[in-house]
Amino acid sequence: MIRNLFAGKVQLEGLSMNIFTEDDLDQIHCATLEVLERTGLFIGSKEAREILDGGGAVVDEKAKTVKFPPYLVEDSIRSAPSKVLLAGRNPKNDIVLESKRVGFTNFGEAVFVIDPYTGERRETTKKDVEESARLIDYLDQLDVYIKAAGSSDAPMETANLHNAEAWMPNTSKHGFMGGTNGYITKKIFEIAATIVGGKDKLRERPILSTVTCPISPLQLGEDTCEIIMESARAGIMVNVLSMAMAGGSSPVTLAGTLVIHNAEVLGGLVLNQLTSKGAPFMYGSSTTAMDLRFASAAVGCPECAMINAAVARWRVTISCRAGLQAGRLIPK
Amino acid sequence: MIRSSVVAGMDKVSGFGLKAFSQDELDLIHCASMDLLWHTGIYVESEKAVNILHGSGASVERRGDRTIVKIPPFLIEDCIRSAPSHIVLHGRDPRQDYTLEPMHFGFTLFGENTKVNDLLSGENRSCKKKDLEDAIRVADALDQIVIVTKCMGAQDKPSATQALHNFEAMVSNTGKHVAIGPFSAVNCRKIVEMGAACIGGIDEFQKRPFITFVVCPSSPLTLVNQCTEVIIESARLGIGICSIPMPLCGATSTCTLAGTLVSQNAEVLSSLVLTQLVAKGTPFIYGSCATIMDMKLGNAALGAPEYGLLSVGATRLAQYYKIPNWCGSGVSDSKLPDAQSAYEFAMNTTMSALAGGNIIFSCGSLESGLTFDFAKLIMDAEHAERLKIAVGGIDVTHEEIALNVLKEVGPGGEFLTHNHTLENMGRLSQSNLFDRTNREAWLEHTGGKDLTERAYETAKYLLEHHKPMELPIGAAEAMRGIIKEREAEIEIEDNR
Repeated sequence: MIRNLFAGKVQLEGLSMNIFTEDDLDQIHCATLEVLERTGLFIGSKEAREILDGGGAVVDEKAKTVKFPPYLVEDSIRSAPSKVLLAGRNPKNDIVLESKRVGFTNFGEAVFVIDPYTGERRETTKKDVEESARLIDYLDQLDVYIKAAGSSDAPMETANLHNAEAWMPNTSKHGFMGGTNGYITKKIFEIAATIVGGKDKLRERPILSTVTCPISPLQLGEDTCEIIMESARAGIMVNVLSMAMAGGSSPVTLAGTLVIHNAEVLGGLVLNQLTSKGAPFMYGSSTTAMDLRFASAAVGCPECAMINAAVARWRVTISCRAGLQAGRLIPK
Repeated sequence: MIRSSVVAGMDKVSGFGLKAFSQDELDLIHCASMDLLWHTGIYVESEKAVNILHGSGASVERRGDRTIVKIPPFLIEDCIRSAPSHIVLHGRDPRQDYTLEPMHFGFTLFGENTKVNDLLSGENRSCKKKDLEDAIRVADALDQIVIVTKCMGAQDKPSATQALHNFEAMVSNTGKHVAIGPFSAVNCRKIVEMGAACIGGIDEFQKRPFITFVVCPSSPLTLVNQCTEVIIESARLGIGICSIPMPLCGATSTCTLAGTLVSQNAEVLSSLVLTQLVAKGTPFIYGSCATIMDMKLGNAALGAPEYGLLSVGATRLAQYYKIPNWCGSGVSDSKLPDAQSAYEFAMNTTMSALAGGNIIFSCGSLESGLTFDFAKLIMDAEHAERLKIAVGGIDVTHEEIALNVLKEVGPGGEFLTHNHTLENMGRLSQSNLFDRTNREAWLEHTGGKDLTERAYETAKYLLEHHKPMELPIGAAEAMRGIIKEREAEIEIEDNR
């Protein structure tokens, strides 16, 4: 039997979710622009307010709020790269973030650990940071590392330096970690530069990215601003990961929560791009619903899955946090 | 406040769904199935079924003692059109009527397990009529279970009348629609008689037939005697049919998933054709239960991701034909209701629900579909409830975005005490058995018990307290009588 070629057969590769029309996304985008333009964000850092002022945003120095004209937001969306290489210390662990490619990482950061030897639940130590990094290094299914635990046995001010010292030698995968503040972030970059052989080498093949969280609703604290700016200057990707809680720090209706979330992340993006145009930026999400009966963040709830599927619909790049959260690189 | 006006012709999707197969790909699977049914044909055991198919335009080839029936595409496509695209599965209790419509999803039990984890002793043993009664009563209490399926057989009863005992056990313990495999034409008639007694007579039963008969074509491409006998009898009685072939990738179908979809599709369609030829318009449900064989172990792997994928594929095909579907999914290979069973159920049923599986054939089953477990049923139902929220999606409208609320609260505020939160908070998901409290509250409420233990307790509580809809007066006696009469008939036949 002869079977000839198909003429332009339309094929779907893989299974994916069918959520939101272009119109739905436009509506969320427009609502976000309206919030950014009319309500604005609280920006905790003076330096950040100056950068935003210089870039065309409207600053109220007394209230420390900044309003963003829509063109500024959309320019920043366009200038952020839609494809980023996350280098591993070992190049075989390099991973490319683009379009709808899905990846996994562990969750971070936990403050307790169930001791694998005794079964006891206790506070995490620097040794746990080392050991968890080594375990994650072994697991093929996890594409990148994110600081799974913190060194609660180190002084709080320098804990992140201890964390950096602990995880970097223990995985050759790309790592994500918080930066405490601008000063510590710079020091972390120095540690990383020492490992890869200089600042230029680090810029060329950044083995780490930073993570920072806006405070919902609609606030970028001083440390968050500093981490965003320092990362942009060093050419290190920053993951601005909003953690709104529907019913607590954002509207109880999920579409409204998405708008709050989006406004916070895009505010961070504008600051990032005005500090250094073209700096790599990641759209993070750890938003969920609050269980109003227990006043706890329910991260196992279906809303969490939906919100993160929705966020990823802006275009999934890497699904951060095994099974729970999906982040993306840049909304386009 | 800024005025917002009416939106002109905005594209909307309601809920979240799954994107699988383009129209071209569905056409390709359809054409391959037509090719298979017409050029290769199916093996049909029963002469009666061969004659019905032959008389309607199928061609028949005798090969030794085997009869191959080749069905022409026009006949198949006619039958697809005559099968109803909308079916109401009545319950004995009218409040339990369940409608099968495109993209609507609901859950049922998996059948048929041959063993049960004893609720009291935990022992894994073969199942009895009492176990089926208990399981159905618990399922009756669970809102997420939309119809009941024979999840176990009354193995303590003689095999010739087991189906009748199964039906008696089920109908006495639920007001929901009953899906059951009758195994023979005479059982079909007896079950209908018993059903009629439970709803106040045959006239009432015909208005609200609360039974669906389940048949399984054998893979590859075979309709055995038992299957065609039930199809013919039930179409004559006006009872809907659910046809569930169970091909195993690499053993009874090709080792590729697309090939398996094609042969399974051909198997379902062959039974559909027979149904429609006996009585045009008979309700028909497109079933699927295809999975892979684990090539290292030689076992059917029902917890495998391929089981979910093949179910999504079959569901898409049923939707393509506008025929209600029955979607195999969510059974676990684990022997205990443990983390493995939860992962396997969660992954495959989430796929099936997003794909719009009308009846997801999944709850309560372990050990690749051999063991029924009460805790698993309770936990599965809780996940099913969460899926309703997840598949419900995020509605994007002005009201839902609540821009004015958002602006009013502004940077650094809180929403917890806002009226908008109070008005809408009831729509957020709540957990029933799953734990969301902090560690201290969890210890206090549960004494540190894990989910499985709590689920067993819930099952025991429901068995003690849930009262299913009562049978009409005299129905229980009538059913006993029908079973006795049948047992006597069999004795006479055996002695002859």
